[in-house]
Amino acid sequence: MLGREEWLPLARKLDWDYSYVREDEVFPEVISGRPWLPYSEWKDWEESFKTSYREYVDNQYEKDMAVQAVHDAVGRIENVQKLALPWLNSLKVHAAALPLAEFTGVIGNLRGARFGRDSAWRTMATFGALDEYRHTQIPLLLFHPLLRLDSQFDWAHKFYHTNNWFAVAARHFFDELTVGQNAIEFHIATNVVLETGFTNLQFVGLASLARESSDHMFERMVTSIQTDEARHAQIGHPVLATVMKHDPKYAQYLVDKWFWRNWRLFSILTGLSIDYLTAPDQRPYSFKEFMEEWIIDQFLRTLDEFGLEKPWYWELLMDELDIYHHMIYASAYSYRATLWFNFVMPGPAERKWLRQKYPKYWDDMDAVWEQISERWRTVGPGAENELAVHGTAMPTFCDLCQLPLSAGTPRKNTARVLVHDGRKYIFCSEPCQWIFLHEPERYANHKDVVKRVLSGEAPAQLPNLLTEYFNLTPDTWGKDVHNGDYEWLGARKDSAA
Amino acid sequence: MVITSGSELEKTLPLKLAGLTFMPVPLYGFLQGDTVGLLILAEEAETLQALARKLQDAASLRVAARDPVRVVYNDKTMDLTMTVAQAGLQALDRFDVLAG
Repeated sequence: MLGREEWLPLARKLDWDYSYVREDEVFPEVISGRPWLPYSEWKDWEESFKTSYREYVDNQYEKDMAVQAVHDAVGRIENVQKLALPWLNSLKVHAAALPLAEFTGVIGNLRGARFGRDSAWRTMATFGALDEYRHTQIPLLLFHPLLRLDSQFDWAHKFYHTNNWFAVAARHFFDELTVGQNAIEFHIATNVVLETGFTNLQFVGLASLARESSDHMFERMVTSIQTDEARHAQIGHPVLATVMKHDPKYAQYLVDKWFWRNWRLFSILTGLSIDYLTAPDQRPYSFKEFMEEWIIDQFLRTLDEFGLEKPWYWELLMDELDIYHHMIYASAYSYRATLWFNFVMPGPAERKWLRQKYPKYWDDMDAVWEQISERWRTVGPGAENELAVHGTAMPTFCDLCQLPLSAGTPRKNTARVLVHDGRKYIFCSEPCQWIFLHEPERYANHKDVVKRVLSGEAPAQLPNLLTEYFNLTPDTWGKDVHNGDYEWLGARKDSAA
Repeated sequence: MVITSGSELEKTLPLKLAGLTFMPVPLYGFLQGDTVGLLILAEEAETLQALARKLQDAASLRVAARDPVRVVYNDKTMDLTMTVAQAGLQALDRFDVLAG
């Protein structure tokens, strides 16, 4: 019987020459990806960390036991009830965003497991699919007991199947990234850009935030997921290296496109979690500091490694680090009933902290919060006044990322209208328009929520939109965590007079 | 948590397209100082001054009303006495309202 060191090199390379079919029939370009190259160009594909199925199962078993042990020790409802309210709402964001997005990763990896161009790649993608299935199951397991705690946790489990505007944006992103993607673009976009660039490090950051917030269950979950990601993220590197060798312009395009698309979604998920939904004394860093230290430096090293240029929009992205997620949070706070988690309004101490961390544009953001505070002072605190401190007009969305038109600054929003094939589109930013124009056939027929309202597909009245189209209820839609009852707001205006 | 009934909601969140007595021109409105663009249903016959006020009202939760204001369309500052139709604003165009 062969030992591990003899068996593994033999088993991980099991490619052969086809005699009954052509290679391009077995691996059609449309689903294997481009550039289409003969196998001779892929035969040296090699993962840097090699594992056998037996080793994989043994390791995953140990990791699952560790997660289960922490869950048993600190995953009970009474443990979760001790968490700070803002952090609890960050959990609701992740309870919605994580499980089924991870499940789409199963589909993407299975495409690689069949249509990847080398057998070692296909084997690694099989492990990747098993990883992503685990990343679906763990959050479902850990968050499930919380259904009894709060109906918003229940709704979070339905999120991905609704037409809620954020679900529309998440599906638009993950469907393109994973579900409807060819093997080459999937592995570059997911492994190199999303995982190496964002989530691998983001999970380290989230684990640290969770630790500061005394949420050891979430800390263990993201740490456990991160160790899988660090392994399967390596699939994309030899794929990118081969594409770079044969079509560097296309490789640059894929990296530029997917870094932007990832930035849009993760600046919301992580930016809001760090700068607003973590208590100020538990924030180890600002979102911008986290991005600069963990994401940007790492991404630039990856670009260097492959001989890639910085994306053309780099200066714009650096500028957005100071403002984009703040624009989104203030907008989302004022339309919180369209979402499924509760929001905290930054008070003087938080705003002082935010001003220190984000001096460039904070004056403009501060004016927005002062105006919202003034509305609470006028109507007074209380659940019955929630909707009096809420937006009434329909917010608008980007035709590419499907997120609110909240890019730029309060002084100058960067939204831009484009007429394409006789139809009008609007984009939040130049990079979103640039992505659209590279592959209009991929995006042109998708309707954002505003277009659905205008075409009659979605209800025109906001109450109906919330209940019938977003599937929210007065119990589940987002509110201010304190219903406007903040000591720092002072007395209600008319009672003070 | 107080349960808010649908009818109470309608009073509070009065976005209504259905039942309008005019053919609205849906526009993307951007108010200087605001954090998000808003869908504004304009009437062809209303003036740009009225259109600006409509956007200011819609964004009043986040931005205090200012006066005077300018309306910018296609990078040009428009005459506020013009109507939406005279200014050439068409469905799904962008307009901006800036401090005068």
